[in-house]
Amino acid sequence: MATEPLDKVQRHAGIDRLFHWVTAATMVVLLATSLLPIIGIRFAWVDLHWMAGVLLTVAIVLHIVRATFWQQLMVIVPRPADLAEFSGARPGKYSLPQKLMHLAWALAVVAAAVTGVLLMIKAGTPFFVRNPYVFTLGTWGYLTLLHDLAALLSVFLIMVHVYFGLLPEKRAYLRSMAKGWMTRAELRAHHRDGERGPP
Amino acid sequence: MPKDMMPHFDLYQPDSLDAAVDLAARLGPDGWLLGAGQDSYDWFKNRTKRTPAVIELAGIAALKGVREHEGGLEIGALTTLTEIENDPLVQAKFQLLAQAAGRVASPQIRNAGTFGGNLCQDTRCWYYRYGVDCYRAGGNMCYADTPEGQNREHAIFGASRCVAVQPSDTANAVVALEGSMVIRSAKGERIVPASEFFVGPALNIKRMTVLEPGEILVAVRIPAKWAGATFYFEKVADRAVWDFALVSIAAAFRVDGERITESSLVCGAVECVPHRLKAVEAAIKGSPKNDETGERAGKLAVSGATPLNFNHFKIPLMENLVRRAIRGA
Repeated sequence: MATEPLDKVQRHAGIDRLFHWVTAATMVVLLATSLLPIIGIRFAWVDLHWMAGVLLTVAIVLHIVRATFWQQLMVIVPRPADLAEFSGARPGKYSLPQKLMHLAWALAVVAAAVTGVLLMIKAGTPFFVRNPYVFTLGTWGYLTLLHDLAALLSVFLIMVHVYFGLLPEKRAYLRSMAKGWMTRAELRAHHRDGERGPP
Repeated sequence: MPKDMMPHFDLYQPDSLDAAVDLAARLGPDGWLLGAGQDSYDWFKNRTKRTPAVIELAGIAALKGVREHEGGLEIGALTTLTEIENDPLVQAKFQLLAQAAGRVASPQIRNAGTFGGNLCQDTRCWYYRYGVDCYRAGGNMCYADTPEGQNREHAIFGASRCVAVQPSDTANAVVALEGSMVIRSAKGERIVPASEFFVGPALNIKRMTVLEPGEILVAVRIPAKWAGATFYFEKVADRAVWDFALVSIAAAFRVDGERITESSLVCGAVECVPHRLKAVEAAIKGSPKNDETGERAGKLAVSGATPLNFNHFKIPLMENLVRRAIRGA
C-alpha cells in the first residue's frame, strides 16, 4: 500500500536549530562545571566554564543579530494580543507560553553572559589583563550574585523546557527542533496555518 | 585585637593514633591537626585563622621514626626534618630526601618541624597569609595577580584564579621518588600517591592537599624504585637559610654508562603542586647525561610557563636548574 507523502511545513531553519543545540550544549557544560564542584565532584572546571561561556556568548550575539535583521523579531515577543489565546484563539508561530519561555531564557542567558564576561576580567583568561580593581568589591559581589541567580533561573528553565519538550503532545516541537519540520496537521492543531504571528 | 599572642582553643593531646583518629572524626573541620606548629602558630597568633580545637599529635609514638618497608622506607609523619636529614637509612637509599629535608628553613625549625607538617603546610602567598578575603580564603578575588600585585614568589604554571605556590621542599623530593601517603581516618586507611596528594586551585582552591577533615597523614612510603639512584637537589632562595624556595629542583636518574635510562624531575615553587617534568623525562630518556641534554631539557621544561608581572626571572632560573640537574651541576 502506498503511503501518502507527509505535508511538511518548515518550522526552524538549519542555522536556528544549530543555535538552539549549541546553546543547549553550552548550558549543560556551564551548569555542570559550576554546580558539580559545589556538590563535591572535583575537577578542573574553570577553563571549561569560561570557554563554554564564550561560545554561548558568541552564539547569543549571532542569534540576536540574525533575529533582528534577518527574521521577524516581533514573532517571539509577547504582546497584549496574545491574551486572545485564553479565549481559544490559535497563536501564530509561537504561543504565549512559548514566547514567555523565550523571554525568560533571554533574560537568564543574557544576564549570565554579560556578568560572566565581566567576571572574566578578574578570573584570569586570555581575553583580559587580570584586574580586580576595575570595580569595587561590592560591585563584584553584585555581579557574582546576578550571575548565580541567572544560573539558578537557567536550571529551573531547563527543567521546565525539557519536561514540556518530552511530553507526547509536544513531540512535534522537539522533532521540528531536530529536523526542522512539522506536518501541516500538527501545525494546524496548535497554530494558525500560514501565519507567523502578529507582526 | 592583640596579635602575637595565642588565642583560646581547646587542646587535645591524644597518646595513640586511634584516639587521634576518633578525635579528628568527632571534631571534623573544627579539629586543627598540629604537628610541631611551625605553620599553625603563625595562623593562630596572627589571628588570620582560628579554630575552636587543636589536636596535638606530638605524643603519638607510632607516627615517629624511619623504618624499612618492602625494600623502601616508611617514614612517620611526626619524624622531624633533622631526623630525616641525618637518618642513615634515608641517607643510604634516598639521599635526595635527606638533602631536601636539610634545606628546609633553619636548623631550629628543622629540629622541631615534622615531615608531615612540612608536606601539609599552607601556601606562603603573603596576601593570603595577611588575611585578605582572597579566593583561597573563601573570598572572590586574587590580590597577587593584579597589575600592581607583588607576585615575585608566585606561580608560573597551573594558576587557576589563585597563583600561590607549594612551599614545601620535601614535597618535591617525595613526588620525585614516587612516594605515597598513608592516610588514616575513622573510615580506615587509604594510600594516595604523592603525585595526587597535592592539589592545585583548579581542583580545590581552598586546600593544598587531598586531606579531608577527619583524616590524618600518618606516614609517607618511599618505594624501592629509586633507592640508590643518582640524585640532584638544589634550592634557590633569597637567603641561604630560613627562606622558602624561589625555584627548586629534585631529580632522580638511572644512568647506564653515560646514558639516562630513566629519570624523575620535579620543580618546586613554580606551581601550587610539585611540578613534575614528565615531558622532559620522556625527552631525555636515552640521552647522555651532559650539558647539551641539559640545555635542551631546560628549554622544554619552561615551555608553557605563564609568568606574572614580577616573576619572569623564574623562567631562566628554572631552565638553569633543570640544566644543572641533568649535567650534575
